[in-house]
Amino acid sequence: MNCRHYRKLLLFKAEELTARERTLLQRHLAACSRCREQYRELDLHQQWLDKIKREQVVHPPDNLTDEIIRSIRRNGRQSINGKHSLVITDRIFEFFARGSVRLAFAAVVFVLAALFAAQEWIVLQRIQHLEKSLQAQNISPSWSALVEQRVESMSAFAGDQQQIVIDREMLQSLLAAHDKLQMENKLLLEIIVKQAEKAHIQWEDGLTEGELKKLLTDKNVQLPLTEL
Amino acid sequence: MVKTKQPCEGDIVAQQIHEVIARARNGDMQAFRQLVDMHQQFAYRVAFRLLANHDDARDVVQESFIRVWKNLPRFDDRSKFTTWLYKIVVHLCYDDLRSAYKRYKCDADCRDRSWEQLPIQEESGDADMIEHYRRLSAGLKPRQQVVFILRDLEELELGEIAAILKISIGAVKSNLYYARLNIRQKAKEMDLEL
Repeated sequence: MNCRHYRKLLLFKAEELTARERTLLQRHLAACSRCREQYRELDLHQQWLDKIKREQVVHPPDNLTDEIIRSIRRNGRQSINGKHSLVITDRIFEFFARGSVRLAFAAVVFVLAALFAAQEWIVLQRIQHLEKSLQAQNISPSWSALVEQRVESMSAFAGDQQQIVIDREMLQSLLAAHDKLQMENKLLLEIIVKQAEKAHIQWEDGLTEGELKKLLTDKNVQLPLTEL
Repeated sequence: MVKTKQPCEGDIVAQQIHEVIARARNGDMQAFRQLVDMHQQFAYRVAFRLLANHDDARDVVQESFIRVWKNLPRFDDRSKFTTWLYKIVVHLCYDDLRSAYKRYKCDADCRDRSWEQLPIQEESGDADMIEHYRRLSAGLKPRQQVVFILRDLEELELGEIAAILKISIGAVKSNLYYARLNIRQKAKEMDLEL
């Protein structure tokens, strides 16, 4: 080996060389003054690097950890295995962000809406059926009975959560004033019940017709009340 | 009499890190925060040494830990966490290093290397040192630069550098050799007093 080869080895630290390379290099340095000079230069270079390591204390910004956590809260929801989430709200968000879950959720809402519509339709069908059967028997439709049936149906839907307490006697008296009620009036009754439901009106016992009208007007329920 | 091996300090720290990782892997944000606190200093130092810019280093470290969080379930417990983190940080720095190298080559081709002749400010402290290093390492290929920093400044073992860069130890030594040679030559050209 010549000086050129040994000068290549000089660029490596002792621990980066093989035992044989180290021995040969030591022997050569003992014999070659020019390579020894090169070695001293490299030693100065090493000292410069040591100075960098010693003095170049790099401090990250104080708020770096917080920034990282915030970034993860913003971006980390797209976890690869879906296992990583941060807090319960993030988990819920992540859960509903999935396409399949959204689809399933929309399907459930659709089915519930369909069920509700079907139940409403069944009630109307029952009323119509009752009306027809009464007409078939040449009996004048008893609107009180229809209202009662309607009230029972609504109570069945609402259960304990029902918002409307309907005084049947009051309704009967209301309807008695309109013994010649036509089909439109029956639909009007439906509207009253629904609008009252929206306005969260509780119909108390003993509520008079005038009070009912006033109540509905106060609640801004738009109805052709004059027909009542 | 059977002698039991006493765990050394390094083993205890490694055990603690693995416990923290295990908790973070199960979504424990406090544990992950702890993991970030334990390693952000060194991740930032590596990124800054590679990019020589605080803003870029901050962005790289931020992105690195986001990747750590996302890929934590894939982390192999048998491997060293710092090696994995080095790998992510270095990988993210590579694009910037490549761009810087291309710019340098372009400047060199255009014979526009006047910036190298600018006098270095006679200031003491980090800025001066960083400027020295930036000028010396400007012409290094990205891989040479990474190997040089990991070995000569971060003092990693050759084997660990090989694992980080997914190259052989021979390739690490080759890159290291050319990096040191180039830096020395550049120092002589620029007549820097090292």
